[in-house]
Amino acid sequence: MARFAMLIDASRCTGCNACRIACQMQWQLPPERYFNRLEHRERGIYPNAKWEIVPIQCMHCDNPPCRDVCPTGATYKRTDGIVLIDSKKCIGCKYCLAACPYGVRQINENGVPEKCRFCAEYIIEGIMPPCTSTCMNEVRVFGDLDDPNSKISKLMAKKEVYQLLPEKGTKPRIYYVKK
Amino acid sequence: MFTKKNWLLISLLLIGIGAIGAINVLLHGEHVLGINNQVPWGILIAGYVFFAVSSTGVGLISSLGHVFGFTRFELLGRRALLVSIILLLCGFGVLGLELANPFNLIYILLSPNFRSPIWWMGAFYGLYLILLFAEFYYSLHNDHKKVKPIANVAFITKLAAVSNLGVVFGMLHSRPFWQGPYFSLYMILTAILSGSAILAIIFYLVGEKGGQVAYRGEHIVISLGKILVAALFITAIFTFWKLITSIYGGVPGKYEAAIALLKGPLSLKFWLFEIIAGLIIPIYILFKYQFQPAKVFLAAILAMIGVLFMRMDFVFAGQIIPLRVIEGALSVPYNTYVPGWSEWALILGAIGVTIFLYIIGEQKFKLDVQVEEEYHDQAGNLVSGKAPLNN
Ligand code: SF4
Ligand code: SF4
Repeated sequence: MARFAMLIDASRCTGCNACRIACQMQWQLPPERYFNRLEHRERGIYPNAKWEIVPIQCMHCDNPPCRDVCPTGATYKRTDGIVLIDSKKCIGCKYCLAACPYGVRQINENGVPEKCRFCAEYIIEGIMPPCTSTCMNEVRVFGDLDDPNSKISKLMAKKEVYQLLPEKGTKPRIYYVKK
Repeated sequence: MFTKKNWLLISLLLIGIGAIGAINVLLHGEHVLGINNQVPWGILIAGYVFFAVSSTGVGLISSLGHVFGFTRFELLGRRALLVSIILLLCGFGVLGLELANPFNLIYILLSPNFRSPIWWMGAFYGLYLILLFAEFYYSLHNDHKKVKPIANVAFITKLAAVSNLGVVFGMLHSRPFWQGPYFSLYMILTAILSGSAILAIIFYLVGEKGGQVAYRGEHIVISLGKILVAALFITAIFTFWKLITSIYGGVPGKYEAAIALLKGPLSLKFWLFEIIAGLIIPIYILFKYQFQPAKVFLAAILAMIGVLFMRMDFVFAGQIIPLRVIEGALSVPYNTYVPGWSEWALILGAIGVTIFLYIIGEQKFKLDVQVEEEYHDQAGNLVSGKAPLNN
């Protein structure tokens, strides 16, 4: 059984936004809608200051509040861990949007709150998500945690990693490399 | 001023405005609403909460008669049921339009997720609506044997529905201002507030038209005013402690939301409408004029305006603070949300529909209830029957 996850090394990110655009191309999103975003923060005091960039997208949480609150079960989690939305079942209540602590959902033209899909249809054919493959600095590593030989499994064993907002109890599937 | 013709005109005007808003929403979908990805719930959700909680509140007050046997409140019976039905239908209407497709509401039943508080909200309020219709039907047919058990079940359903409505918000760990059981209790309390206020407004007007509003010679609005003032007081205490506990210790998310209410972008609505017009002035009027029905009427109207803004403040305060995913990341201080004109139009329209349907109901049904009572007549003899109004 696959257990898909992503490891992000934010310190390598240059802020070029190619991941965002590759994803928009993949899913034919209009310019104002995006499934991944970059958050910026400044650290330290000049001249010892640093500009940090953190890529953020749906965390495909193992305990996803968006799935729990969805009244019709339109939001669901596959056995491989990917959280998806069945837009036929979605009634547009936007409860999932209110429930997601990461602010990654975006209302589409039909009133369905969409988000990153981990490119579910593509990865089963072995194709990497474009946000991962397009990046010139290999900020993202996508793969199967149940496969001990996958790149992500090996990296996770070596590096110290953390998750965002662990206090919310969502158990994200996206890990970040500690600096 | 309060002639039926005037009320009809006002209601039709409001319905006209609402209809234009509804057409705009149905034609153009969500784009005409002011909501966005940061503030997904706008004043239509607040409007839904306003109507649904008011409906439950009216029901809770009338339970004092039907369920708890306080004879004087049996007077409220049929009118309370009627207005409760109308308010709930309006609430569902507003919610259906917020979804840009009212039939989506039914879909909740076909594909249920029992972990979702919104699913339970649909179930409880759906059941409540059915019970209301049944209770109203049997009440009109004076079938008290059937009314009593239905009223008992309806009482439990009301409490479940209204407290679950608070939990719809309270379950969200992502929004610290809402999270927790506080808003469940707050919803029950403010249901009693809006329920007593709405019934006071209606029974004052009914009394002016010569309908039955007296129990043992005392106007029922006096009792409603006393419930109202108690609910206003407790709401003030709830609000005070909610804000103090949010500010004390600066808990992230709660603190900023409380500050947004007290001196941020929500402060005008909060202080002017929710606190001054909605709590302080009504309490002052009720005490100053010792619950005179005309003054209770005035206080109740102010309280209801306050409640409408209270719902908007509550819905917006939970979402106004940007989510903090990365500590110290650059972000706007507050999320923005400007309601579209269609949203305001729909709220006004729903108020219009409430007034209109109520007037029609008054005409169509026999709503006066004969309450068994004993009273002293002018000569001081104890007699039973319908007491005349003496104030
Ligand atoms: S990040 Fe948000 S949208 Fe994605 S699974 Fe978690 S709660 Fe759901
Ligand atoms: S908007 Fe759709 S996916 Fe989100 S909670 Fe509502 S029904 Fe589920």
